Amino acid sequence: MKPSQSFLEVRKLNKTYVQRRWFSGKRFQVKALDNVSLTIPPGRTFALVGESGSGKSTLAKCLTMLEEPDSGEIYFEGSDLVVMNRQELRRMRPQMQLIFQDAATAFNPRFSAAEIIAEPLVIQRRGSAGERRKRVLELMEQTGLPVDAAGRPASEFSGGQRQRLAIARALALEPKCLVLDEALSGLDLPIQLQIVYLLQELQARASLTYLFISHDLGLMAQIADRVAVMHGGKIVEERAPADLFAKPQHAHTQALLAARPVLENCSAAGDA
Amino acid sequence: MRFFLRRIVHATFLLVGVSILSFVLMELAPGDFFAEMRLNPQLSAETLAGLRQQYGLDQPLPVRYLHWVQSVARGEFGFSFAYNTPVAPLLWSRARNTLLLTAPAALLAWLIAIPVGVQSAARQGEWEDKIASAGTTALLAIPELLLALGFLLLSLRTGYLPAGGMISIGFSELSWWGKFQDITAHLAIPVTVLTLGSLPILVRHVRATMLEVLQSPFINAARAHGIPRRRLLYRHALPAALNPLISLFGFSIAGLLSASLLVEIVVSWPGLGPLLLEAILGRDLYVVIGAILLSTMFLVGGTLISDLLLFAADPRIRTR
Repeated sequence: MKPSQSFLEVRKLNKTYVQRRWFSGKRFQVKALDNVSLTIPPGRTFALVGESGSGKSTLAKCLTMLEEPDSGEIYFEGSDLVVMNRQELRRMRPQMQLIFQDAATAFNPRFSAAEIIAEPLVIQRRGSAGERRKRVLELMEQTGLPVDAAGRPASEFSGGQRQRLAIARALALEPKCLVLDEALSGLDLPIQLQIVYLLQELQARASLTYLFISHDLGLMAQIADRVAVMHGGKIVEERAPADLFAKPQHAHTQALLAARPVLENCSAAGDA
Repeated sequence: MRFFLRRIVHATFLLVGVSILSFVLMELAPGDFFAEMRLNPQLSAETLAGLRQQYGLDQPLPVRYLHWVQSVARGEFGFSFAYNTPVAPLLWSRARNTLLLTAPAALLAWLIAIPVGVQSAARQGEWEDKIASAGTTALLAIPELLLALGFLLLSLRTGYLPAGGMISIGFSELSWWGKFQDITAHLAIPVTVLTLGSLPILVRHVRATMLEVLQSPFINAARAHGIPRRRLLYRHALPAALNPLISLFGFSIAGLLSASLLVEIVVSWPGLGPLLLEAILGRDLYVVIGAILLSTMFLVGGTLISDLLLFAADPRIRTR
């Protein structure tokens, strides 16, 4: 197959986890990704929705090559990540950064906020110590973190601040794509909204591509340009959010939509 | 700082408690140092009673305890019946020899355990990990005593290393460098045995704590930045896994001491082990109590060192 010209394209990705029973030694397989293909255009927001265990996080890990897929291709700006060796991958990694659901465990507990943000720069050997310090403060300002908290450990930050810290760290390497694995799930609604605004602002400024991974179909419908629904390791439906809500094709999407908690009196306002 | 003052006060209470307890327990055990002399027909009952009086063994327990406390205050730690000297100088030289044995063993065991544990956690399930876990299982199963005897046998057969003791004949005539070499050669077997004995538990602890840390999201985040393996393992994962290991370090110091008592006896290393064994068999009351107190001090010292290390290593504890 010829290499893809699109920004991020996944072709026929497979990943199976083998588990072994303790006593019987019986093996059983979990197909986390089953022939997954999708194309993500640059500068847009793509959402991957599905229930727990549908393979969303596995896809995120494979996309960032934290897990190696069993088979398939992942083209990032035309080059296949799967066949890259360690050095090539190391050079590619800054382009794609991850943000996790649980920001509390996403930071080295021994690092201060400034060290956390600077670490990717240190790892990729970017800039001198002074330049890095300047960049850290710049990033903290951009993400709305109090600059005077640079010396404090992440454990002293609030939940929303931690997610901002995670974003600041992810942006340190000036990536083209952010993979946000349930990044909004642990936050309460006002904070969720703040983070969404921050992300949209950053997207407008640096033309970032977002891949949101979430179980919250309603929220994704509001912020994504395209939504893909995953179920049992497969992508069962992929469309623009308006279409998805208007006439969901797949039975599972219908089930997901029906499972959404809706407040009777203000449901119309909420969907707008 | 207040934290350490409190620890020192606790340690003092602990030492007082241990000393009282060992006094009471020694009292409960039948017989004393002079009991066996009763069988000697050349010694009359009057002579024995006189000896007992001379050493104060006829006094009631609280009085003897107070006398002993006074002698501790003088830095003597009581009087040894068998050696006919105050206990303190006896203990100090023996304790120094024991430390000479346990300190390198502890250092060596940790220097080996950390890289081995880290690597086998990083390569969980691969052949490196399997070899390491087979090795630690084997070492766990072999008693240290057997190891010591095996090495002694080997050294006797080959004549390559001195079998037992701490110094060769003619030690005092050696140069400074010669003395060092001589002691090192004598140290080789007991240090090896002690290191191998404590190694498996340390390796397993390092591996287990590392495995836990390696699953944290922050490790994944660092990997996504394209971190080199070494930096990931030794700058991110190991420091985060350090706290339980530092606590274990304190205990391993105390544990090493009790293991060394046995090994010392087998290779006739002039440390606390043989002294304590003889003293218990001969009911040399104050030597036993002194040795018990000393090993309590090792335990307290070990935990204090680990607390200090925790303090130095963890910014979260420091800021408190």
